[in-house]
Amino acid sequence: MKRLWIAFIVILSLLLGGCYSYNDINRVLFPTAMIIDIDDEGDIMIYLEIFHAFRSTQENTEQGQRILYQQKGATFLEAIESFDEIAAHVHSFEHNKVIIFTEKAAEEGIEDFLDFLQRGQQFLLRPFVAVYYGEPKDLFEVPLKQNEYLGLYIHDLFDRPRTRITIRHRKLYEVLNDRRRGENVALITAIEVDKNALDDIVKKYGVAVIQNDKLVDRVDLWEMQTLAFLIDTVESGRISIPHPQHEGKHITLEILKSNTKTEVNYEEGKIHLKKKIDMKTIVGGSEGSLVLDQETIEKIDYLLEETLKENLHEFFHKYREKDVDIFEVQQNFERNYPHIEVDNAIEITELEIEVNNHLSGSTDSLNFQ
Amino acid sequence: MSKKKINEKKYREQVDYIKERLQDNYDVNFREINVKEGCITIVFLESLSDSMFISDHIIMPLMQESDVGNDIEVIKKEVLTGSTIGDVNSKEAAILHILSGDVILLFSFDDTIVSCEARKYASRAIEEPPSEVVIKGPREGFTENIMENMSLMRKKLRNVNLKFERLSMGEESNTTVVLIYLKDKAPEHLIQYVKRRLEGMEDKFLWESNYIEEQLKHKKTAFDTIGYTEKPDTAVSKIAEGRIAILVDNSPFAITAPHFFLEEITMADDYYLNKYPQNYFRLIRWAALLIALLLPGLYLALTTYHFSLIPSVFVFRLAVLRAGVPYPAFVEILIMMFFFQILREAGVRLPKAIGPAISIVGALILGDAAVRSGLASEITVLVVALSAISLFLLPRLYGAISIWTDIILLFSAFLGLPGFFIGFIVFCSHIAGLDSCDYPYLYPLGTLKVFGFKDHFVRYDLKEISKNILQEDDQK
Repeated sequence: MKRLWIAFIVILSLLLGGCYSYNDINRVLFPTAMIIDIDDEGDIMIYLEIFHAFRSTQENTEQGQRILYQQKGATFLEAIESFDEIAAHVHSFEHNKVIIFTEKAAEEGIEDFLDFLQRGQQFLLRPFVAVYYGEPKDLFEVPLKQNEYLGLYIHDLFDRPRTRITIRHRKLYEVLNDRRRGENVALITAIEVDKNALDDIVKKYGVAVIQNDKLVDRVDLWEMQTLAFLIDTVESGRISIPHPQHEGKHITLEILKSNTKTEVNYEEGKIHLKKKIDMKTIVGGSEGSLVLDQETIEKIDYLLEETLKENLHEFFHKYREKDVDIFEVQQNFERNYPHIEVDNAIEITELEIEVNNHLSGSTDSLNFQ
Repeated sequence: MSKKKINEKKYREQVDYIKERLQDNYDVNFREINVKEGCITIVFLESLSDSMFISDHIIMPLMQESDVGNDIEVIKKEVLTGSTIGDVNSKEAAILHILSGDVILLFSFDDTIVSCEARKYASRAIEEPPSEVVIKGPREGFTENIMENMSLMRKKLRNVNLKFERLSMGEESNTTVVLIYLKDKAPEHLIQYVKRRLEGMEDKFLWESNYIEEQLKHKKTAFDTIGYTEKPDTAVSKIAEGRIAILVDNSPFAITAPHFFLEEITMADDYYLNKYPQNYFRLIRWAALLIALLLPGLYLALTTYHFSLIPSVFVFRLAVLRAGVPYPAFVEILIMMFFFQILREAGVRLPKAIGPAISIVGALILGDAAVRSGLASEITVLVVALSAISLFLLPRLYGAISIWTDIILLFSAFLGLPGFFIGFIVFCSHIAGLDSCDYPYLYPLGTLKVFGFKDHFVRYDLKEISKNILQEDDQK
């Protein structure tokens, strides 16, 4: 009986083993970044940045090589499969770090791509997703200093702890979740090539707003801070407010902790979206001297509240007018009122803001690392 | 026929019988001494007996006292001055005595055969056991002389309940085997079990203690389910825990039974040195066991099936390192393991003075040459070397774990991580299914709560460690 069980487990594993296949690690091509574009004829263009290991017979050494491939096809899968025609080894997408949609591809719609990426067994759901504003070739040609591979560089860029007020960088499975909730709005980090710096650089700059799987707008850096407070993604960062003691000057508050609680109330055909922001801050810097007495602290709290309220209301109304629900109003409403059917929640929503700031003091000259 | 004539005839028959049985042995000595009552023949083996002792304590007294009379009891009590003197029941027993180094006395005026102990074996000095070196603690080890071995144990455990039961085993080698146990500590069923198994032995010769180990151990396994030690203190401590020790003449090892898997991880130093660093080292030994057993299989599974589980930077590094290797990773690992086994065997078989040096130089040169020639990658050399060196922490598990490492490697090669886990589960099932003298080999794991055994992955204070785990288990 015992032998029968062991034989059963082994046979079962052999059958399950069909999901995998033996490949020596040096006989595999590892794409690290994938760019998805659409050309003028409507064909799908896929660009791959690939890591390839080989032994150089000239130098008699083992080396890693960066290969850039481009293929096109009528569909995403056709384009992907055509890479087999130019590859000496099999592709393993398990170390693909980022999937980048070009602006054009995103505008045309990412629904079909997502479907292939989700169904294809060779793809993982953990790569970061980004929208690139520019020409794909320019992106690959940027001479990166911090990493040899674009995919690894963007992964590190997105994955490191956030020190600014920003949204969370989305991975493929998160985008797939986002588009299933509420008003089918996904926020994907935007990247671009900055040619104005001393060296050409790849940088993240704002957020691409995807509604119904199509790119509809782009939130810039300053607006993104406001958005982060509304969707509770602030972990740390700095915020500037007018100086409480010197007119025309500013002080910067360093956020140690922030939490935004959301309440949704539906009354008389109106949705009241209440955002209660609890913050813990310290004074990070000041233009001019600052005497931090109780009166000043209260004034700072007041100025912060007013600044935030003004920014948040302005930003909210802007997107309410555009009829793009990037604040997750629809899904919050559906969670709170599952039996009331409202087609477009943001249209009838009024925003209320409450800010509670606890100013803990300030940094000093001894507080350094 | 008078009684004198009958005795003389019988005496002649006895002498002839012994001469016939021991013919063609140039070390057999027949010494005849004439006394007033007749003739006394002294038989002994020069190679095993002490000639000086025989001259001083047997021949000299008999010759000086020519009128010894015809009462054998008087001769035994008043003439012979040896310490151990006794009667021998048969001619065959007399032969055995002679072959054991005793002196046999045959009398023409009496049919009694008398034996007198006069053994003098060539034996080496008591030395530190090479396979169980300790930093602190007793350094004496067993020798090939069973009497010396018994004395080494007896002096450590001065207890009337310490029993030494003698058995003669090996139909033709007539080897002395001694069963040692503490009467009030060793479970009776254990003693009976061991005796029963020993009685069932049909070996004609018994050259080494392993003959008995094979009789007692669990069959069809590479694990030693019967313990052995070269250190008297270790043997005695196991006896104190209720186990049985067996000494075999001409073997410098004491067998201990039952023997459990946990004992392969423990070392004598664990109990002689500060428990905190020793517990740390014991945990390292557990880690070494896992590394030795699992690392090659895990490495193979990850680098051939599951790239996604390795950090990207390391995957790229591994790919570069293997870029020039023409063989699949599985073959590469097998080649390197084979090389390592050759080196190890060479190191063990060569003389002590050059063995280690050859091993180290060989490992360095072979490893480097294998990488340079493209036969293996650096990472594979590292993995195989780490696995093999880890096993050196547990020398007694070397053979068994080497085999199981290969088995798990094979599973991993065919099925990746599912195979790796199946291999590990089969390994665990295997050792869980073994027994040692009717006790589970994994004992006391799984029964810790019952009697609070405090000497497993780490050891507690010496006073808290259970001293008699077998009897406590029986009581439960």
